[in-house]
Amino acid sequence: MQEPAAGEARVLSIGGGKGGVGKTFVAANLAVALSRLGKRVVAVDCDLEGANLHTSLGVRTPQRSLADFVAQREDDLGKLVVDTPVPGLRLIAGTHAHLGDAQPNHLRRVRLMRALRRLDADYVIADLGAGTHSSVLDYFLVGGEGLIVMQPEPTSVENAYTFLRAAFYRRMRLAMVGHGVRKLVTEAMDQRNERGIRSPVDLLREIESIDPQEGARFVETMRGFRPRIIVNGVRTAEDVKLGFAVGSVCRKYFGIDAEYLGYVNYDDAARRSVAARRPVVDGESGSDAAIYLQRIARKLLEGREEKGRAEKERGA
Amino acid sequence: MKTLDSQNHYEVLELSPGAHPEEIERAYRLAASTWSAGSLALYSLFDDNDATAVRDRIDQAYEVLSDERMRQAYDSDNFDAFPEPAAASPARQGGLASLEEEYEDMEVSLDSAPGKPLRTEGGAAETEYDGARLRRARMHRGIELVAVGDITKVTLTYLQAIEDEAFDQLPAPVYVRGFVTAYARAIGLDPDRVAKSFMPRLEAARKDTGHGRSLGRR
Repeated sequence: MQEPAAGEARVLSIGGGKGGVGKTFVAANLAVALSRLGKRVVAVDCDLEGANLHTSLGVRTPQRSLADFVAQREDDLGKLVVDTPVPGLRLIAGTHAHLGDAQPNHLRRVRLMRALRRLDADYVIADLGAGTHSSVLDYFLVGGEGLIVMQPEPTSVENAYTFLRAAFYRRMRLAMVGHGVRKLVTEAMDQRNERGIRSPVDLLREIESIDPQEGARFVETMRGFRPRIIVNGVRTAEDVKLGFAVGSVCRKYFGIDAEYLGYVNYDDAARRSVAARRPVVDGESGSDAAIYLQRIARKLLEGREEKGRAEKERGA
Repeated sequence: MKTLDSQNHYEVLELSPGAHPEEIERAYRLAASTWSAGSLALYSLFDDNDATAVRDRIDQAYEVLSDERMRQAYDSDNFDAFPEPAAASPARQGGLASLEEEYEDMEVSLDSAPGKPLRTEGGAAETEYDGARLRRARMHRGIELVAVGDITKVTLTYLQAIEDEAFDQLPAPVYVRGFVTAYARAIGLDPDRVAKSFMPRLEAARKDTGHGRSLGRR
């Protein structure tokens, strides 16, 4: 969506719908890789119900955490930041949350998202929980730079699409002004809606027919919705291609650009690193998994200018 | 956002007009496998009927674009000012090729980047193609090891041993050089460069472990 303003951190949210696909693994390693590239990074564990980003980064259960902000015990997000063993990388843990009531209310969430962008860092890596709770979707949408982690398995692909649909419709509904059109978006979210809207493409046609101006806004918002894909746990060349295929399916179904950011292979080094509570790009930097993760990090940095250029070309 | 029906043949295959025939081939292969029955990427989003409709549209586009005559007729019917056909292809064409190229570039820059090196190993020039890198290069190109075996006629055990650098499972250097060269050619790498960087690794490893095999037979 919006580019970070001058002085604001670039927020990269890492989601994907399904548990166990490696969101935290990817988040921890990208955070380390980016800080090794000289960036000041804060990793934030937004998974308050299953926090373990601190463990992946080799930090003992911190006393301060995001839960303090959510429970309104602390208003300054910057005070919840703790150091990690990696120079340049700091952490806001997700520990000690009130498990009966872990999610912030809407107002608190809005404040949190603003505070994330204002953290004193170049990059904020937000590790999201599983599922499609509205708070997870909001974290995903906050910086407009959501990364979807999936594995080459039907269950993971299915959840990733469910997640994408949910995030997409939430984003669209928020962008629509007219009440009637908003209602239409809500209707479309029900896959068995009576109007026969089966995909975002159908929805757009419907919106355009009742309100061309909202239609134009819809298209404009859609252009800003650009999730990117990481395939984790790749074993074969066929698995590598999954990211391209998913990107292409997203273009045809959602009409959105879902760039394939890269893949990480299925690697024993990755498993060992989790057991050792040390990110693989740190502990086994020569392993295939580490090399793939470092590439993704580099691509995140390099993608900046290219994106602007490609946009201009496409706008023609 | 255009519906599939209103997209032109190039858009259907996610190509720019003026795409090189090779790009068309590659785009079609990727699209055909993406939209094939049982494709993982479609799971839960497209049912068979919808996927078939897309596939038909893809086939239709390919039928025209893959035939020089039909493509020319189509282009002159649909485009006024046409970009140089099949000129030096734009790098960002999307799809497998561009990511592959990007990664190839990164692979080079990863080793040669001054300042903060990401990788801590001493990246000497002669170690540029080790087994792991060969495997990565193969994966980038979307080629399964079995396919390399089919092309090169080298047994899978040896190919696997090359990627794993299981030097004790490989025969005498003269044979290995042949295998590695064939492997490189099969996945589109420069065979000389690969052999030049891989063979010293084999020799060094054998010297270390005293496993010098003088015969090719096991």
